[in-house]
Amino acid sequence: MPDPTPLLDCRQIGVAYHGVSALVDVDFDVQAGEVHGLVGCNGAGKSTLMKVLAGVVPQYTGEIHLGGLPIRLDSPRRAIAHGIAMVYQELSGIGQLSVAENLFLSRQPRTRFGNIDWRRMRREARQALAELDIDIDVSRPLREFPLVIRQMVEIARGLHSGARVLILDEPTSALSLPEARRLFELMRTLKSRGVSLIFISHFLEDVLTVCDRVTILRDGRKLLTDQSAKLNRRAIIEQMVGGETAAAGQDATEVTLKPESKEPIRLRVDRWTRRGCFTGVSFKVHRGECLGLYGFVGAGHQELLHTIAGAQPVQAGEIRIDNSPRRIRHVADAVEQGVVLVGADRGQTVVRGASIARNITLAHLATSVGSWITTRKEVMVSQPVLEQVGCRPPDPCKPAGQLSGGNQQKVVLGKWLLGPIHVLLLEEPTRGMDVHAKTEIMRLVREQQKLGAAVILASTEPEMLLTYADRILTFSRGQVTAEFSGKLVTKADLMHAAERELERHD
Amino acid sequence: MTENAQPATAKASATPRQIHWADYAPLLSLALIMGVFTLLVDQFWSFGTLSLVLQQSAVLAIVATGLTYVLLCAEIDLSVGMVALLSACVCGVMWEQPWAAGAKGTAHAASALTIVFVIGVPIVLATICGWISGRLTISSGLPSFIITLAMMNITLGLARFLTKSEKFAVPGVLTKIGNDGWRLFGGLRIPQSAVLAAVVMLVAHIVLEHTRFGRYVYMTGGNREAARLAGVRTDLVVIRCLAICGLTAAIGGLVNAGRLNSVSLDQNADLLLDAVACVVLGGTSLFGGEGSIGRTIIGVLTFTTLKVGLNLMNVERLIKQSPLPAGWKSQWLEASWVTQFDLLRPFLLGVVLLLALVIHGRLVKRRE
Repeated sequence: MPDPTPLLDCRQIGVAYHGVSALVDVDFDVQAGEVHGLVGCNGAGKSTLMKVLAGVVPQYTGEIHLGGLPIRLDSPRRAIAHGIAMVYQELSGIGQLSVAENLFLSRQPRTRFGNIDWRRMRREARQALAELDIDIDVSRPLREFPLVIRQMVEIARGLHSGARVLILDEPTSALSLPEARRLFELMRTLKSRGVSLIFISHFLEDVLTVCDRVTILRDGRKLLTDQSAKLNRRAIIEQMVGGETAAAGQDATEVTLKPESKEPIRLRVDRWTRRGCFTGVSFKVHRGECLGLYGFVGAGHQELLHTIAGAQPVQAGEIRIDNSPRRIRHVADAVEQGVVLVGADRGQTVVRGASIARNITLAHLATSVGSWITTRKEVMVSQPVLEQVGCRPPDPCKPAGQLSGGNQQKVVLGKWLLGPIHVLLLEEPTRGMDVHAKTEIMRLVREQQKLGAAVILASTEPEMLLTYADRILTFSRGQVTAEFSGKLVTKADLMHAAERELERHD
Repeated sequence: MTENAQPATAKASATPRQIHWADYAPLLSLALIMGVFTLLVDQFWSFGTLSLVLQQSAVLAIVATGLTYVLLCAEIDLSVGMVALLSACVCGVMWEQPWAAGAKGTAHAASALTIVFVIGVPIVLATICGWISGRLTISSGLPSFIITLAMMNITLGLARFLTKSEKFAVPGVLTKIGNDGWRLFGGLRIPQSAVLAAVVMLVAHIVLEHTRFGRYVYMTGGNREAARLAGVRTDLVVIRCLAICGLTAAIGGLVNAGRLNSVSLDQNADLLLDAVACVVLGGTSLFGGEGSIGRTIIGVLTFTTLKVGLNLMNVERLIKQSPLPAGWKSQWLEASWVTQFDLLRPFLLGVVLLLALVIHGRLVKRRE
């Protein structure tokens, strides 16, 4: 039974960014010594709520009480002073510094001469970690330790600064199973010492294992808070996804996928392995087919695209294009085979300072412009491409950096149109774009598909895949967990598969 | 190719490229420096001064050309001065071998083949030095700053060991290139070294603007990851740029040795910093992707004009001619900053360079 006065009590929290509501009237409370799970789809408002608690969103409305007293969290400093600490998904520890230095960052103990008291710092660091049953050499640099230790150090840092409420944002998404179990043990230890934990995760199994209560958010509103013993995965996913099947917009939430294509196989990947990203991944894509890869951030499906395109090395595996084995060591090799990548981060795919024409011709300079390059020739080559992709403005002399995100992406795609496209790899191709730009990009992709290209679309948005993919593979922690084809698939099915554990045989 | 056949092209090229002050800042500072010296130096606008500027800028221009390639792909080569020195030393030492011209370079006449060999080997050697720096930069993932710093010491050490700190003669053809020129009308003299520099720069310009390699240099500097993801072998681009930089450093070092008619260890000490100053003064970005050989020409001319102008400036005469009260004049003529003005010249050079660079930097920042 919940305690009558919770440690942290948020009442009717609301947040709006530029008039768009991100959170509406959310009530949320955490008891002392409780592990409280927070779940919801992308954009449900989990991270916004946590940012409010971390003091990063000072413009929130509503009231927050800590230990019965009203507080106002208008800066990160204030949040820390009240004993609320956040452990971010992207770790903020400094790898080059020692574990002890990380623990005492900005509050190093001083000697009476004012210089850092290294001995005391190391001793106290050792003690602080020993209390959490972590036995490591605190004078070694943080980067030498595995992720789980780094996360634990981060937690210890929060505790050492006097935190009573710890927020853990997706701590297990990049951990192996034994590592995750170790983290859960630590969370139980903390709980028994009266520390409250808020646990945000896509991995519902983890949430149900470790949490006392679970709160489900959807579209910025709280749906329910309940004892985790009374919930199960299916029920939670149904709540998260909700009855939004008939929701507005063109995005599908359930769709009947096609059976596997009868066309010849264009790309076949066998036992593809990259250390720390994915292991033993095998799949095939047919001509004119769009294969969707679904997984949460860090599942490995995005790195997979980079390795196929030759941008990152792999340790093992084979690749066959049109049934003949190929070796791809550099991006240039892949481009020659017609295997091309449209990356998610346009900061890494567009040369912003160079003209649009130069960006368009970059990949196929020899075949499109020839060996004597002039601006005039380049403009003539890139002009039809710009018109084909519908770039606005279609001015090849303008610096590419002056285009909007959607138009920059058209330039990235357009660059590949000057050569053969046999396999088109798309990594979150429409991230951050409006509906209009999104449709235009995907229209271009569909055109290539009709011409026989095999498309692989990796995304963390299920709607995107349900709308555009013919067949879907789900990834979890570097492995394929399920394949969907030829039957009805819902958003919930995908999420189920993506958070499923594959027991490793090691 | 008619305009009518390509209406889209015509439309596109009709759109003017956005023009900003920052693009013209290097040209304006050159004009400003020329203007100031016109006032300060008697008969600054003469063919004599022009010949002097051309003569002085040749070595710098050759070295700065290779450095432009390196800066364009967002790397740096700190070894240019010492690589230039090493190649001149190798040339001198070989020239005094018994199989070449012998001791003091005068013992007997050398064949044309020997001369080509004695000049060619140091050039190849310097190119290899640059190539090694590039390979190590790529394979180690360290900044080229560190790798070429080490290369600077390696080449200096080798040069010392080879010459045993002695002076060596160089082939006569280098002396000719370094000192001779063609007299034109009215005292204008075009030094052969300036013509050589012009040829080097022209080739470099054509490669940079009209070949695939040149384009890859710009794109690698503009965004290395984007260029790599478009299939450009950015690692090879960087290695080749550093090799080119070694090549031009060697040519510069040999011309400089010819100009001084001998090789010794005290040469080329300032070459690196002067060359970097020239490239940056021309408006080439230290962060890559922006710049050109044309800009480097402007930078080199600005730098040498400033240096020549400061050398030609006669402070005592300026004070005597000025319409100031006689008391001040006599007092100033005694002052140490006038009597020892020579010692102040590097200070003034530094101050003017600093001013120019800071103003350029601020203009570029304002544009972005």
